[in-house]
Amino acid sequence: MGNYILRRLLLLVPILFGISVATFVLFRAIPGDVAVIICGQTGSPECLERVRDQLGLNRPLLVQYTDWVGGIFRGDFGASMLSHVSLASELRHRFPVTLELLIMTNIIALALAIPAGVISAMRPNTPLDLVVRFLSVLGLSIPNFFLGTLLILLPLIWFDWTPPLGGYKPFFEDPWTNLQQFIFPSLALGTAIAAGLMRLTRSSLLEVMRNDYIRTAWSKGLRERTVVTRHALKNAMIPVVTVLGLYIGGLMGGTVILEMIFGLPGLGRLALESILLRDYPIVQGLVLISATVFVLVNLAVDVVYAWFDPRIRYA
Amino acid sequence: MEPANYWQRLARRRMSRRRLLQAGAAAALGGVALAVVGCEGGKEGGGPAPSPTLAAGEPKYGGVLRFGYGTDPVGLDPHQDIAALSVMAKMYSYLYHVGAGSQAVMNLADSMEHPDDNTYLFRLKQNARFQPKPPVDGREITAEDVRYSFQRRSSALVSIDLRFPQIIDKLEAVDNYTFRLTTKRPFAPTFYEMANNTWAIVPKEAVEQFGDLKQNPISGGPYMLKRFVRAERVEMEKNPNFYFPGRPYLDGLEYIVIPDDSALLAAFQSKQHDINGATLNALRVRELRKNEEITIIERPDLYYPVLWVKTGKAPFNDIRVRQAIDLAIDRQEIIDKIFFGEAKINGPIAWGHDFWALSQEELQAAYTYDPEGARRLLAEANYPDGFTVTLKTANNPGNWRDIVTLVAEQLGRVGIKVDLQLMDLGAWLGSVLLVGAFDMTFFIQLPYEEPDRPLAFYHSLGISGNGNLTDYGNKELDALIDAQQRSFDDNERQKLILEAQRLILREHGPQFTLASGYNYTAHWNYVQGWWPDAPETHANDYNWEFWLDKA
Repeated sequence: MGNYILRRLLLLVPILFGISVATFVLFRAIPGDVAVIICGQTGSPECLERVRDQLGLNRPLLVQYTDWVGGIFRGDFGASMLSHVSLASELRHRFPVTLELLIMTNIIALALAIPAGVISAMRPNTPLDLVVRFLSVLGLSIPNFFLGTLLILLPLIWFDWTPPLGGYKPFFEDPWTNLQQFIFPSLALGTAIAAGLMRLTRSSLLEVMRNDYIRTAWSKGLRERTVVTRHALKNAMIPVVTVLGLYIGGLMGGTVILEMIFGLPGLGRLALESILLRDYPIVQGLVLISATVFVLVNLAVDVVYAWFDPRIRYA
Repeated sequence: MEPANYWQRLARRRMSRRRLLQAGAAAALGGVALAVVGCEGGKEGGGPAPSPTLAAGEPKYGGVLRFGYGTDPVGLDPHQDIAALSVMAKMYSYLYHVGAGSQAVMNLADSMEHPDDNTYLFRLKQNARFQPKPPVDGREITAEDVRYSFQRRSSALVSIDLRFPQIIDKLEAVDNYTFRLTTKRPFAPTFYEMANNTWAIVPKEAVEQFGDLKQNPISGGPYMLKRFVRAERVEMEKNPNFYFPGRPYLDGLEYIVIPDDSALLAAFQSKQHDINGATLNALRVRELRKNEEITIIERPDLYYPVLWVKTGKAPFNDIRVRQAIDLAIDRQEIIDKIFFGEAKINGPIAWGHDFWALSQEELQAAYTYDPEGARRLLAEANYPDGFTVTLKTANNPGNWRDIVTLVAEQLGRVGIKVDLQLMDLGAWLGSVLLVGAFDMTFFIQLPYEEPDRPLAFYHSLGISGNGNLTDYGNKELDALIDAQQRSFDDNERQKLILEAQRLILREHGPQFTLASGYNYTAHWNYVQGWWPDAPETHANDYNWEFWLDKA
């Protein structure tokens, strides 16, 4: 297992190299650069030249690339060309926001999906199952930005109240406000994931329940609860965990819109704003970090397989 | 020249005309606005001109005012960052600004003189001090600081305002309390050019220590920075050294950043913010007016949408085609559908510049909607079946996208088929607008507070002085635009500007102006001290008279 993990980690090097080159080149291929953003809609050619000179954007691309990569090896991911704030400092401030949003989203998604999926699988084709399946289709169909907006506007219309918007408070500074700030966007994000996971849990569990070892467990006279939780659910979780791993990668993108709506200063918002402002160092750094997180999450998923199913061995 | 000079004359004349118009507008637009106009302070130039929003008791000290804010301030250096100038204006010192009734409101300057056409002399307050923060620690602000700041500002990267620095000849600190600015030639727009909030006064040693002021704004303004977290908030506290004794009333200000407009409005409505930060249109305002606890203030919106065509090549080098565009655009439909009826037609200078703008009657006569006439002109220009044109613009939400979609549809009705291509802002700026790579483009012009800049878009040298991006050039028009810059006589300048606009109307383009509405501010009634009669978009940015009327 140790060797396997090491091999996977080493694979990160060519992956990240490829991503760094692709991000660097592709992002520069988009029309417009940070100079046109700084000079604005009445920018003169002199202004554009001056800004490009000052920011080093007139240098050959290879020089710019090696400068950037060289900085990373020295632990310097660069700084915003507009605010001059380093990416490291932005990460310190924003990563906890996105992390908390991801954790709460996953907690909500799992808390809704697993029990609903199990109930649905254990009572297939009953009215209860139909209700759960209807809700899951509904959850999958509602876009998260729409749900997010409803979660703000409905309390406003009904109670003249909205959850605290903007003005992020860290959990350890003001836990009550922090929870109010995160529970609504997490609900908006988590609903669709819960719906997907619920359907997967249901079908996976239905399949596992037909296996011989489950029949054996029944024949031993075990209670339903024991059969499901100790024998069936653990095996049914393998595809669920795989999909959850992929969801977490996808969520990094999904957080953008919720961070915008709820005014949370997270990484998604930083990425979007930096793309629009053509803030090269920030976007490049964020893409590299996202890629690393994505690879690591998938590695973690592979490792968790072995925990769920001891027959799985990595050589 | 006596102190009651050009500026004061200018201020008085324009103030009276504007007040009259505003009173008329208020009567048409409902009770709240009327009450607001009725309570204005109305003080002649040369000092802060507080005009409390509603009649109220004695100002109260204390409290923190919360603003909703939709833009993420990238940095807080007024010479480098232009995205959050209204936030910065609360912290920095300025010589003066143009306030309520177009009057010069003195700030760090105690008085200003205009001894000859090219010279501007400012006497500074004595014993005015910077904020008590390192590295300045409250030292006195002198004319040398003004000279340094204006020099730094003049070499700033932001091109839009390099237009005025190109006119400046000399910046001098005559003595500790006298600053002199000399222009290369008589330049009437100077009064407004120097009053925009990029001309902030900053201490040299702070710039040298921090490299820039993006994260460390220091000056002498009413508030000073307490905490700045990008994408989250800007917190300010009262500056104990502020040079207007007893001001500001508040202990601090807080700007809370929420990029989503609906969420921003919801936060205001649920009283998370004291002053609304969401963009308001007439429809939203009608809804807000139902709540009697909310005050709405409306002023002409100086942002104005424009359609540009390239006049250097076919088909737009043919004036008949350009005239056909003017006839095909139904400006009343834009007013009704986009602005819900609460807007007016713009000539080359937006209607909000009432003194300099053509009257609505004249514009209505000039901009008749005549699709049949448009088709006839196109046929005469050898386009009997019309033609297809690519219109590239930014995919900006709100009015930007709505107006361009409607205009494209209107042109389609007469046979000008518009291939509308929406791009992200950076791509549009970089590959279309700034390099002049368009046949047709659309955007919303910035809220210029002076008629000179809107006219510059029709000058053969363009706004940047490097040539007009539409290829347009007309010597007669250039001469009029140049002449109005040199004229310090208001009436004479007005004549030149109106004449230039009439010539532009006859030329049909290269910039087609459409219509614009109102700029609405909403705040809860307990917020007092807003300057309601300030017609300029940014006048309240400098306001240090706010106070909170609540326990």
